Amino acid sequence: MFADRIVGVILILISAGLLYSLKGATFEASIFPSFFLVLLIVLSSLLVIKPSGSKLTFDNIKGLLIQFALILLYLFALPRIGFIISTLFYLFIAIYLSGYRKWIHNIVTTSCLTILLYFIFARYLHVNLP
Amino acid sequence: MEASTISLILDGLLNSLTLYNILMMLIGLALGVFFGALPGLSATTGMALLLPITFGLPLEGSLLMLGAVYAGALYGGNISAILLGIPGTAAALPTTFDGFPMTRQGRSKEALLYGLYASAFGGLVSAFILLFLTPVIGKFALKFGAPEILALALWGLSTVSGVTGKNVLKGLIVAVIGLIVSSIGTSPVGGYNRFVFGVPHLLAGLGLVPLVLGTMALPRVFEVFDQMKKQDEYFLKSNVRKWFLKPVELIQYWVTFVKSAIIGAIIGIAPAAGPSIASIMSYNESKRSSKNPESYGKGNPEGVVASETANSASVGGDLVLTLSVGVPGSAACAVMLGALIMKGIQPGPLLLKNSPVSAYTFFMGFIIVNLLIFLVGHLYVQMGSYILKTPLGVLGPAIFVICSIGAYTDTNDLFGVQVMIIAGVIAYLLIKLDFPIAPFLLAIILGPLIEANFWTAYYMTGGDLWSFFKRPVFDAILILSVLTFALPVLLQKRKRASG
Repeated sequence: MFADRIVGVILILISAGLLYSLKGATFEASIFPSFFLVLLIVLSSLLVIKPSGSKLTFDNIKGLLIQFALILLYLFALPRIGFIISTLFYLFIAIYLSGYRKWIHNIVTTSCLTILLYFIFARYLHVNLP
Repeated sequence: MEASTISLILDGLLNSLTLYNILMMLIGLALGVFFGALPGLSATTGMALLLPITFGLPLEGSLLMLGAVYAGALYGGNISAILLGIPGTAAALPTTFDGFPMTRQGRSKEALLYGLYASAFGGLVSAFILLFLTPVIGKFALKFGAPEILALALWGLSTVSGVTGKNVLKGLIVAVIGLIVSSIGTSPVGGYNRFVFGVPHLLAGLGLVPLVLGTMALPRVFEVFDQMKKQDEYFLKSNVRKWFLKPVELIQYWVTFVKSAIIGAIIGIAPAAGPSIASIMSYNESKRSSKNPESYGKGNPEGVVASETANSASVGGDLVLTLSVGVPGSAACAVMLGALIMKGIQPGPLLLKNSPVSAYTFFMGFIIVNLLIFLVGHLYVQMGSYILKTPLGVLGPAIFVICSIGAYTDTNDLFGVQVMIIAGVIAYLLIKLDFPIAPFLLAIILGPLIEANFWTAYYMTGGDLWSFFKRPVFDAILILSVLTFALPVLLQKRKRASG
């Protein structure tokens, strides 16, 4: 019930901030979002007053955070070293860290998948991958 | 039926049965099942990626191919839903509730067969709706103005109440968040930049594809990461050989088949409320009216049937609206609309007048597509079990990379991927806290439609809002919206009162 209250308070704060940012907008531009922002504040207040018993629980929070850090690294590397190299590294490390320890399998899967995706999207469908 | 209509139907049938068109349908189907089965790539992404290819094809072939991708993706969605517990498309979410437990009990083939039969049945219903309703609605649509489209959009939004699940308040909050997110960018009237904060990418608003991938696919990826250690106890080995379902096994669920098809068809016609909404509503209704609702979620084939029939049955309604009014019935249909416009054909009331043969070829072809799903699907059922042997540790990162490419293609830079990841983290945390995520999708598709048409209608009538109510079609759709919103809530209340 704690978690619901936090979500409610965060939503109220964000809504209030966004509502403030609409100051100076014309009536036509601001009425639609303003109406829903006020509605969101009302609904969130209800959530804070009467929270349900939902709780935030994880089975493997460490693994999840490591994987998330990897995703951020991948995102950082993509524009710098290109799709093929960064995807190769990302997939290999992510698969290895998730507990799959067969080296050869991992290298084969990773390279096949990367090359396959590259050919489907970059060559065949003409997507300009980084 | 007029003689001219019958001859058009026959023309269409013959046209769609040419070798070339059948080939296009088979290719579209295979691609669709592939896209549908891959979590993260939905019918929408699949169709969007095919757009450049269809540009070089003749009109009928490309339409049939896109239609086949759509239908195939909806069927394909249930393969990963049943085998991995990850819905391949958002529409297959409720399929996981019962399909995945069946797999863990070693009944994966049985579940896949139920999914196949339900999909094919729903698809056929769709095809007939498309064939018979498009001309009728097309005639109506000639009288549609901004107020009517506004009412249609409100109708779509009213389906929220059917998908909120237990906690109505949380569902409403998610829907309102979606409406606010949809208003990011330049306003339709006055050109004021809302919530842009100096980021040029935000001027055009947030892309639909990154948001869909972020809210629908990424939470599943995070869940896979979170549960990685449990792989061994995840699946029971399936050694059962099963090629077909016996008629008895099907007939026992005939009520569910028919009811789900009707729900799917009606929801399909409501704009934006596409397959994802239909399947959840149908699952809830089937569970509500069941004699033993406690067996749902533990591997009851009826749950698979309810979800899959409804999502395939909604495609027809979706396409009807797209072709006859020119308002996309779902995100995937928006792509279809794009394909038509690219070919120089204006979808809408005049479509049947201007290119009747092409339209009927598509209608008849869509029936054949669904028959093909039924035939080819038996093969997929046998092949599908191999997916189970992929370790979760490989699956999670692979799905993430595929999703990233999907989001990247939206704007052709990394902004889409960033949006997807942020949306994904927020959605994952909210889902963990029992917030339903379907209302968000509904809202981001309908938000712009509601706002833009409200202002058009407002200026059209000189600011006289009451004059909207003098339009009979507007009133009719509005009453329909109120009913759609109120019915699930009332049924739930009655059930609580009696039980």
